[in-house]
Amino acid sequence: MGKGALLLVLGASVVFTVMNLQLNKSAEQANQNLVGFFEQSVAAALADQSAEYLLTTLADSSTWRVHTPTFLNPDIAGVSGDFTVLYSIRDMKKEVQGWEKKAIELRIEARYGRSTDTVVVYLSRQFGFVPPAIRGAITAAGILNRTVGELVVDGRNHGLDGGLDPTEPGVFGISTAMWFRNIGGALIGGVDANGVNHRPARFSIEAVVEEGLSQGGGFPRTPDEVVGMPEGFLKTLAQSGVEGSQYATDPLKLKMPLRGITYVELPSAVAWRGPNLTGCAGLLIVHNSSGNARLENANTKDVGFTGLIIADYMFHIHMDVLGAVVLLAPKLEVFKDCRGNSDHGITFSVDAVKRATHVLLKQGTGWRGRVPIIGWRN
Amino acid sequence: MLRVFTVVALWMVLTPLVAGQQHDTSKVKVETPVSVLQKFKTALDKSDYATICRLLAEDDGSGPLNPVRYEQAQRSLEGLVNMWRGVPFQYGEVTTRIMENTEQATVLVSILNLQQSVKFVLLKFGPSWYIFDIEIYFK
Repeated sequence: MGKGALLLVLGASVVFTVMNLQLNKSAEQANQNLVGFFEQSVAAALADQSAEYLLTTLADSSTWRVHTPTFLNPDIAGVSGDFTVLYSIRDMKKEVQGWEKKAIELRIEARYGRSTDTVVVYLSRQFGFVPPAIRGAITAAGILNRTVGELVVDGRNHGLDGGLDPTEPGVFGISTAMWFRNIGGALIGGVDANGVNHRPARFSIEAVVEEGLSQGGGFPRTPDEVVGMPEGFLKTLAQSGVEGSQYATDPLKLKMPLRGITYVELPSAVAWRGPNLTGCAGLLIVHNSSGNARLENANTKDVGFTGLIIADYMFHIHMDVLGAVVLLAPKLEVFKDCRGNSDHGITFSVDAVKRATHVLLKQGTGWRGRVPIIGWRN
Repeated sequence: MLRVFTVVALWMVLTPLVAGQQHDTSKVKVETPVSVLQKFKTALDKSDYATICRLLAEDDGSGPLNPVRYEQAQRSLEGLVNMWRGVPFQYGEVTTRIMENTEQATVLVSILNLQQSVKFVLLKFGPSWYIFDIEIYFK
């Protein structure tokens, strides 16, 4: 009995020791796992928080680049402890739905303890947007027959250098809520309803001319409606002077070259005649509450206008526009002729329109809705 | 007999005088498209908008500009007046044609100082020409 009891005690002791060792090992493993999980969570949070901070900064300054991996200032990251955050911001190309797009890569590597978390965010390089109301290189509520004259109108997408850019889809050459006949002999090209590009031509242009466009709830009546902003937003922004923006009721008081948003609010049926818009850029608005402000004889020489023009009425277009034009008045020119403007053109450009509209997205806080994210990888 | 002689004598004396007056073009100023543009330029140099407006046609070509629209026209011309005041015009080719029963003239003007070429389209209402359209080309 004494021998049996001894064996029992010894056995129990061995079992206990083994169990204890196993338990210690498990506890240690669990502890390690817990620490690892904690570190990984902290690293992931650090990476996300850093991304938020960097994206907000990018929303305010879209040209900011950091080519060499750089430590993020811990004070800025808003946390403290044994960690490092490295980030870089560089231009690159990324394939999105079969299109190779010019992009910005924001790479963040956060380390905490022995854990590392990497976040890579891809953004479109142009921060603005193309308003859905833009359906053609020229989009108009009225009949453009006499307005375009002999212009070259091209709805295919072009880059900021003026060359064809297939990385973004184009638009129609002309889109009108009414109808169009090419009585002036304009050269018109663009993208048809099936997405096929057509180079500018004088005849057989039906595929690149959209007629009777209803624009859903009706053709936009104001510049704010064109860009999808609340009424008065553009005027207020122009008055704020952001990025060189100007507001004027007398266009002679404008400072050239135009930049940012230029909002010219003319008295009823008054024309702004003969402005030299060479080298001007941004969002140019010529409008009044009667919808009959006129931009006439706008000229450019050598360097055209880059961006988006929204006017009630335009005539004698002797200027080059890289971007797009929207004309709001249902009644455009029907009496006068425009000849001799075949040396100028309206050339659609996603990049130019985005560059003009990016200032609209700057008005806000944070980065959501302000930076064009096309990919996010953890 | 005396009465017949008197009538014949009066006819002989008065006929050349009347005929002379009818053909004396040096005293009657005939308005041409270029002379209207010269008036326009003189008024422009003086910023005389009232005169400028009297030389304009309605935008739809229906007749001379209605005075109720003078103020609108003035506002629309301020840019051009500002740009062209004191700058010499060189009048070039003039072409005329009839468009829907209205006589129309086109005058090309060179403004060398500004490297501009300007096409003025004028319409004739009654005996006078009125400026209907101005088209500016930067050379």
